[in-house]
Amino acid sequence: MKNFIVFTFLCFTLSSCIEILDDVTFNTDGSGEFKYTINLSSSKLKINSILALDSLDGKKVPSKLELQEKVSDLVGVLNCQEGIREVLLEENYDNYIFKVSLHFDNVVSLLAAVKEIMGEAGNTAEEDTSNYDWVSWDGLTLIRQIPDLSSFKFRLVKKEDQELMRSGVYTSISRFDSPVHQIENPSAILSKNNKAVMLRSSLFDVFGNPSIMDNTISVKPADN
Amino acid sequence: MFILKKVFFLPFLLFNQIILAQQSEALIPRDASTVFSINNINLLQKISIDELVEYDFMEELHQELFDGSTAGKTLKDAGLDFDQRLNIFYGKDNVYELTGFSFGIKNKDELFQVFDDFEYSETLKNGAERYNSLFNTLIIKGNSGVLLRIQPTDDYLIKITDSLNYYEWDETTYYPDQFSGEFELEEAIIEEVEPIEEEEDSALNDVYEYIERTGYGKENEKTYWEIRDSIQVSMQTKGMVALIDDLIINENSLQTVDKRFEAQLEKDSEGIFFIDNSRNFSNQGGLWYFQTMYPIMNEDLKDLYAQNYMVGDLHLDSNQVHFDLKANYGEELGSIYAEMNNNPLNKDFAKYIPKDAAAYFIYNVDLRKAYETAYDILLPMLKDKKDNKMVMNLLAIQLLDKLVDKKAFFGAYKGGIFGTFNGIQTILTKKIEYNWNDENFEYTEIETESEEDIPVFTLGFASERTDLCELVLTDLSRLTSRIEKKEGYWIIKDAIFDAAPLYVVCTDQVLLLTNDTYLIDQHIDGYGREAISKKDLKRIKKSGVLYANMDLDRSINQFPQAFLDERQKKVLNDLKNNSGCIELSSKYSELTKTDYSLRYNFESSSSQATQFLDMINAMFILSK
Repeated sequence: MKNFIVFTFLCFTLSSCIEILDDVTFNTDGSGEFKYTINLSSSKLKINSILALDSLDGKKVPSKLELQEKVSDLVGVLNCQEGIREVLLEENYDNYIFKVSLHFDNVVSLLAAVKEIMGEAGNTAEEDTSNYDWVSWDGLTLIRQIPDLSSFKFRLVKKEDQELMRSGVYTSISRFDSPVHQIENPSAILSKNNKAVMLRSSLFDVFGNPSIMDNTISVKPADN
Repeated sequence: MFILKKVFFLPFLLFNQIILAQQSEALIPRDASTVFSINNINLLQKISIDELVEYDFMEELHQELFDGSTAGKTLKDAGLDFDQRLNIFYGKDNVYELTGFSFGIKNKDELFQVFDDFEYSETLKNGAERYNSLFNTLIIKGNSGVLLRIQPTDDYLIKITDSLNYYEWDETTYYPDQFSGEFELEEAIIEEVEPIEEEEDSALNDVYEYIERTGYGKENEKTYWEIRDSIQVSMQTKGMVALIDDLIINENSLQTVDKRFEAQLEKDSEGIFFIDNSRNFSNQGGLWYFQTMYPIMNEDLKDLYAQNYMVGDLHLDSNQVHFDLKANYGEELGSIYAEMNNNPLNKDFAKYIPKDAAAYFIYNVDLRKAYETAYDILLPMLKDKKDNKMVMNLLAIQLLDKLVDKKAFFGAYKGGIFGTFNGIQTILTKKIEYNWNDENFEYTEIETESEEDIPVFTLGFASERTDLCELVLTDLSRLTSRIEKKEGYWIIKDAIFDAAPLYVVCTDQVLLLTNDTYLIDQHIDGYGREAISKKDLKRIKKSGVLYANMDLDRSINQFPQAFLDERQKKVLNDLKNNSGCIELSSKYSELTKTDYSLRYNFESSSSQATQFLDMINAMFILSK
């Protein structure tokens, strides 16, 4: 698993442009769908050059095969989580786009699943994230942050890479059955149909201060 | 009369004291195969100790030096005698690895303020004092000191521990916790190890498996790691005692046993170095083919290296570090080198090197000539052996020699090679972006163009049969659309990291591989006036087998590390804060030596001393 983290770390350290997209649909009954995408397509040359190395900065660089095995292990872990269904993984090694999507029965199941994945990714050493609940949803009010990125040790990014990271983008979308009534984060924008809220920010800023992606959204009660 | 005698005798004593007093170079163990000796250490006075211990040549010793006791201290504060040399040494054989440095001492009190972890251990019978710390030993003899560290090599340690396990693991009483007889243990080790035949290299994974298999957690029994630690400590202790006996009591230093090193010490340059390759055979690159393909033969070729050593002088001018390096070898090896190395420059090389290249090198060898000589010299050496594998290997070599058309073979690959690093260029690659629908923030993927930086390089191989490459590419292009013939060159699409094209150019004398679109579009027949100047060309022609030139500013930060091994990467990374130009050249190989010269013109704001140490460090890493 360490190799996977190293790979992720290396991708982020050397990437000129990364796009992370979290897209969560919250149904009124508490269930929903979670989609998470990491798009490294604009850095594929760099990633390929990293993968061609045995090691970088003293850390072993995993092979493509090891990566594939690790990603599929993570999907296996997700599939075993209670309240989690229809886990789908799309891997595109030509463009280095990784997408995972799943349905959850309630946000507690989603939190547990994400926590488990983070644990599997070997991020328990430095920070205890066991009490980190990044989302709560009662059918009317959503209080959310973004899934914990500190786990991936992004803060290890060197100074010289930080400028490059500024061009990376984090996009967070929250979708609802009912129209949105109120949005707390002034940077968020509402879709024309009033049922989706989007927050976008530079990856660099998000790593530096993940709270800029915090948001509280309330929706109108569904008509009975 | 008596008074008169005293008057004459006193200066005589003083003279003796000055001339014959123990100097730091006398404290270099004879097992050291690599020595860097800094003569003019005055220039290092302002170097902080914290800075010094950061260097790789101090790596093994730095655990104890790099603590609070060194904060803000310079070498001057450490009580060192700047009239004596500072000698850094390293040695390794199949059993032990030795590191250390020796130095002059002016003020012992100040010295121990820095080396505050050392505790007095004993006074040796010749008056030398021994101090120990957790890992290192400090010996003070007269006005000189030597810091020593000796430890068994990992391979040897694992081999011994594994072999002990092999015999004794199931006998649970063999390693009780109370065990403390380390010397007895080592004797037991030797007895047990010797009968074991050579095995494959022991990998740590095998050890883990072995521990699991043998149940390391049994009560009253040492774990594998505890046993290994015991063996290590035992070997360190015994090795250190032997080393001190030899070096300090019996005064067998490298200086006393090796006249070549002694001669080198007489040089008045700022620094000297000495590398005895005959004792560092595994580090030889000259006969890499034999080392890789015929390791059994390689062992038998050690005799070839008996006289193989390198000496060098380091000079420091106001903004230049200059290394004069002499690679010495025996006449047999020399005759191979002379054939291989002394060739006229391939003219097609020079025309493909742009004058503004960030870095370039030319390695000008003729393998055909070297092959013929090597065949004549090596075959008789190996024919004495009657080992099965050796006989079969020799048979294969002789048959190949008879059956293969050597002219055609070495015509296709002559051995000469050049490379240029032309900086960074931006290329267009495809990336995936998202197209957002404002209505509901649904999105679709769209393919757009992205700019990425890629290092631009050209590699050229001397060949008289580039038609063979054309033949291969022509056939392969029938199999894949990624290979395509263009006017005057071939393109292999997405050949570099699945993203950038590689161009292949076949000229009469050179096979070129490049990703330089400027070369392909504008200079496919050579750079012409944009090629390296006649002055540079003259310098290259005068240089023998090797010439390299590197603009540190432009090359170090951009150079693709994928092409480098770990050691080279380390050198490159360590030089990252420097700027200037490095030029490496050689003279024609003679029967017993080849001279090399490395000039480093620096423009960095850091001090001369730092530049000097940076280069010593680079040499140390590469020679290790």
